[in-house]
Amino acid sequence: MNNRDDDIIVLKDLSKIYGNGVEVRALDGVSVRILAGEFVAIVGPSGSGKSTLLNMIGLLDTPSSGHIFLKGIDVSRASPDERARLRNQELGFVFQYHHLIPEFTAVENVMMPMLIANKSKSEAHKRGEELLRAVGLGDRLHSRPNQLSGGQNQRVAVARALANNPSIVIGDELTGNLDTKSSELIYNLLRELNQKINQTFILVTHDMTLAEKTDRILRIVDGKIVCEMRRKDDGFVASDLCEMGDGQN
Amino acid sequence: MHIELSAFLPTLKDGASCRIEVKLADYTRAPAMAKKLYDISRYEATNWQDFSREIARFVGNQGVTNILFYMFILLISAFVIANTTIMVVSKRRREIGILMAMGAKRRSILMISLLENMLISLPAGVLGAVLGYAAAQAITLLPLNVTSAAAGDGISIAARPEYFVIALAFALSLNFVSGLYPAYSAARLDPVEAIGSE
Repeated sequence: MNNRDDDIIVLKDLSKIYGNGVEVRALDGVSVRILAGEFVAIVGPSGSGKSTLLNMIGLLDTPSSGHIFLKGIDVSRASPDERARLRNQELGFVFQYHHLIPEFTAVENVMMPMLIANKSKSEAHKRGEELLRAVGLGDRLHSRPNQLSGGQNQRVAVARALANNPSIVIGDELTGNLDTKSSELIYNLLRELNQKINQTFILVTHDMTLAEKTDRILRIVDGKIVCEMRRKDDGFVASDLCEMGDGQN
Repeated sequence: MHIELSAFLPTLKDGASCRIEVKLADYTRAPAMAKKLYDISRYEATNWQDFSREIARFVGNQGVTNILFYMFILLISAFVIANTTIMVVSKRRREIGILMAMGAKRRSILMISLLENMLISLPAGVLGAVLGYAAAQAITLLPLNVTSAAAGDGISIAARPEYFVIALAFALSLNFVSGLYPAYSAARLDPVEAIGSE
């Protein structure tokens, strides 16, 4: 597998092994290549390693073996400070629970990654306002998380993830805690950002309705990618890998 | 009334009984002074330490007990502060994890925790000094039957400005030291675990 210019993240033979006595292979030789502007869903049963995979891509966790290339640079053995810098600059996170800081208003929460990046307060505030307007919360800038609904908070979290113009936005069950209508709203928002600014999204989900709206579905079981499906016109085309899989997902 | 001892002693008739009490500015010199008086007069001269060996020993040990006492107070305070800070850190695990996910460096997390600790300890230290002074004043109002050569009846307190400075400096440094471990452990949190924690 050769790296190409439009590869945003490439995983090569990535493994993660937990435990000293009893070994648990959370990831077992995963190789994936994700291009800029792709909208990818990772699905699989719980405990399959999909969150571990996402934490690897998000540089929150380190692999036991294998390599992670972010924009062509091997970051699998980067120092904690270097990984922190990359998370700040190249990655945006949205989690199942919005994880906003309760003492801060919406705009202050969105400003956080920019302040961590040492941007000026006024600059951060300006961009924070823009982003909140873009996610449809222009009138709730100064509301605190407890004054907003679950869906609204999740939109603030999306705005925060986009703060530093990251290469990739990562979502871990980001609609898992929302009703259908709010999920729909979040999906539409992500899709719009994906098309408008070519933002790369990688979402872990067990919501197949959401997964089927993406462009590419990676199915992971027991730490291995067992099936890969790509959107073609209105349906999905399964890769050769899927022959042994159950096909329904 | 001032009478020279040499003038007074001959006026005592044989068989007469008399007692003179001498108060010294420095109470620790009592045995030496008693001996001196005896040498001069050849009259029986005893000092307070002979009256009460217990009190003498207590006063002598006071320095040591004070230090032990202070150490216990310090130890307890340090544990309480460390415990509180650890609670704050564990309540904020997820937020710390999120800050890390957003790219906050470990050093920043350490600084945030220490800074928060200091921000609380400064007003707390001032409050403690004020309350301490008020409590000391309240004690002077108690109707205690204490007489001292320096200040007359009752207890007087010495509230020198440097005491407040020392107390405050002590409070701040104790806070800083007690906050180090919790701040360090916050900075060492694994973001994956911290975010996943309920």
